[in-house]
Amino acid sequence: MLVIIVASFVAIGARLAYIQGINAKHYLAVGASEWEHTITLDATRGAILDRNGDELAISTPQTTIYADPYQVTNPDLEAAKLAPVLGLTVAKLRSELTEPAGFVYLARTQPDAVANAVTKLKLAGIYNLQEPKRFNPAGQLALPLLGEVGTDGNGLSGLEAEYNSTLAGTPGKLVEELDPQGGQVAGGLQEYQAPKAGSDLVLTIDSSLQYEAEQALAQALVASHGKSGIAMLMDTKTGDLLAVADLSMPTAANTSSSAIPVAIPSLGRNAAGDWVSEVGPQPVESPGASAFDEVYEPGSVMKLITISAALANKVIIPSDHFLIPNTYQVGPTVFHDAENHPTEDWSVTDILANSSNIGTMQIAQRLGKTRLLQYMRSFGIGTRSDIHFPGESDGLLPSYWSDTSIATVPIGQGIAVTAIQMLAAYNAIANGGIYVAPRLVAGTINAQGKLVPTPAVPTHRVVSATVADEMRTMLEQVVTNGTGTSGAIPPYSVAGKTGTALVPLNGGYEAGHYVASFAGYAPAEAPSITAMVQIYDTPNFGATASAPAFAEIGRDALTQLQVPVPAPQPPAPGVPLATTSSANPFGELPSAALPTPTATVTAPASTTVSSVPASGSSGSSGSTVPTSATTTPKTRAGPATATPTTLSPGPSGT
Amino acid sequence: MSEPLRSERFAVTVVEPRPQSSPNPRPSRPKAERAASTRARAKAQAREARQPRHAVAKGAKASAAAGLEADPLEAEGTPQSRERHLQLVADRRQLRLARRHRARLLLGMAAACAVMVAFGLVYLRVIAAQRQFTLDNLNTQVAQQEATYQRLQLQVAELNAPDRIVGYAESKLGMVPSTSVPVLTPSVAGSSTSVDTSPTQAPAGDADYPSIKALMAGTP
Repeated sequence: MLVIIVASFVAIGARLAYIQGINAKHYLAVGASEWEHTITLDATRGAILDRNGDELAISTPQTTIYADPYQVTNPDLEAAKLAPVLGLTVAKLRSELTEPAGFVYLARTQPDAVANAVTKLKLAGIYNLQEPKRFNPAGQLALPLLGEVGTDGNGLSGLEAEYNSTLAGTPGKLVEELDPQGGQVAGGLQEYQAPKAGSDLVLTIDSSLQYEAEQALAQALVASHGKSGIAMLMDTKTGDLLAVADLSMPTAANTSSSAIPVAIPSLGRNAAGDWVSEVGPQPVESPGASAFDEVYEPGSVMKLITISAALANKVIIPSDHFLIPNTYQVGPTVFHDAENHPTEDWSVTDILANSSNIGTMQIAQRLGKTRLLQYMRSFGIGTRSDIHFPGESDGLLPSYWSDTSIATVPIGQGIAVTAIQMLAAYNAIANGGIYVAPRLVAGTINAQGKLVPTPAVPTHRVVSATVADEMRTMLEQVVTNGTGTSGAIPPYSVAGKTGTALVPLNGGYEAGHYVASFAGYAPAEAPSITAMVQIYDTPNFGATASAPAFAEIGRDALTQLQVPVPAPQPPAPGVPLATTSSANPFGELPSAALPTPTATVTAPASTTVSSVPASGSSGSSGSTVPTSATTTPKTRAGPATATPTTLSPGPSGT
Repeated sequence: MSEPLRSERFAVTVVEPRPQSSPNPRPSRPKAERAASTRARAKAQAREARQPRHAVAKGAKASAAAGLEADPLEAEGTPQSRERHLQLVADRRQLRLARRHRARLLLGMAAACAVMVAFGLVYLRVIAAQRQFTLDNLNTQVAQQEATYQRLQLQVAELNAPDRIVGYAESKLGMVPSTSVPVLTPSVAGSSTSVDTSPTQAPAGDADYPSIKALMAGTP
């Protein structure tokens, strides 16, 4: 008997030693898992600010209502009481309150009024917690740039996605001991690791100029009956993007429940005497940042690069004269200018001022394919910008050079560019021939409140200052005496260029569907801003569709930035002024009759065969690049008899 | 004749000294006899010094009973005798009781200290718990104030929204966008510096307007 007792005690002792000594860590861990509770502390998501510190996107804690179905005593009654408060159906709430789970969301990130109403009901098993919700205080302003944030606080698109790790911060942790009732054990274990707030993103965007750009673009879009549009404004010296507007006319494809029309000032007052917005379909924010991720054929704005390259390589001088016939055959294709004209003797300035396709083709033939492509790359064409916006396209350069490519590419057909690429190209000329990388993010503000600027990207010279000055004079002539008179911003001098490219539709090109654009900078003598407006799929040309919007955006920017009117600068040496102007006050007439062809004028079927993505491929929704496999040459039968477009009188009176 | 000294605690009796006027004085002892007595007394003292008090008392008693003559010098009350310290001998039982009493006292004090320490610890825990509640309450208030700040920040941002400002200006104040902005560039005559290209208009009502207007006279 004594032996049994002793043996029992020995066994107990051994077991005790095993539990308390050898395997102590295991049991300690088991116990810790029972009483220790780890709470993840969400870090405050950083805000997105404009260059003046105004919030464009900000997170604010909101109340999330959740339920513990195990503690719900009367699901039917509680569902009936909650339904009107939360705006949900009784059936849906009942199914959630009867789920075999300990936690179920009922409504996330609700306003304080809803949260208070739920709290007052004092329902068993219904609790709330704080969760951050993303707000855009300026409404839909710059929404395509900013992007969206999901319910869980992660960026889904735009800058919110691109800089998600910077904005999100580092979550913290709270480890505490809880008693069986779930209350914290006073004086018990408590390890607190503070969350590190996300950094704020400071953009180069000016919210006031952004608003003005969106309003001007909206008016132009409505007036020109376009389908979508882009307006961009850049600080010439620094490359800072001051405004990037992306608007579309609402369709079933691009209208979401969150789309809010951009208000357009009305032409009159309502019965109450208030100014009211224009009635009818109004442009909405595009679903994506088209300025970066959509490509289009630039048209005549491309001539800046062609002529700059020719001047830089000294294949021409500004005073060279060219005989410009009404039609011009290159390879199997006969080309023509936008307007019928007799054979003209034009200088380079005249060619640019009148946006002569034939003159540009002749210059390009002197330049040659290799040097043309070289300078296109030097101007940034074919490469995405240093912004690296999510989904940004590189653009498309022809990989297959046909007989007509030397004619089409220099005039901006047969290649595809993004709006930011074309804007940066014009900005290089404005900067005296130096390419300045566009910049969208000025820097970040870390959790300590210190601004960390974005590293500067090295600039590079594209053309000499002399060539840039020569181009300035010629581009000024475009605005004063050429097709771009609608882009003037008196008393400032403006250097700019119109562009009208055909939109590929149904495998070919059709008259009446253009990509109308205007790009330029001001003041021409000492540029402060570079801007560009592009209207997609409009029956109007660049001079009527885009140039007025450019003028309005430019005027607002020059006024707000208090840019002084510089002293007039003489033309660059050796650059003749425009001697002829076949453009009327409206610039290129949409009724520019196509000549009765002696040969069938067809869209070049062999261009961009292998370098063009098929329409509908990812990243090219809405792309204006022609398809390859289904290109069907369209025959233009006789001169078009289009009716001159009647301008809708906008508030500016232009 | 002096009273015999008797202690209640110690069984020690001091023999009263021989009176001075005694008719029959004791005959003086021989010298050798005195020396032997002295030696014996010294031994006895040494032995008593080694013994406990009670044993010393017993020893004195025993030596007194054995008939050892008390030191005549002591009996006579000489200064030497008065200087000799008395050795008090305690009862063994009483000593044991005393020791036990001291132990109990110490034990009680230790228990009291332990109780006080325990109460102190409990008190500290209570204080810590109270502070924890206070801290949690403060943290909650901080979080609430932070949330309030963020909500107000959102409110301010919404009020600063361009579309709201423009809408209010147009609908409530009847303002319209300016269609043209005249740019005036006053120049200072005779100045060697470059032309003042400030684009601002001369503010109406400004005190400097008359001088500016004079400068602008004739300027298109």
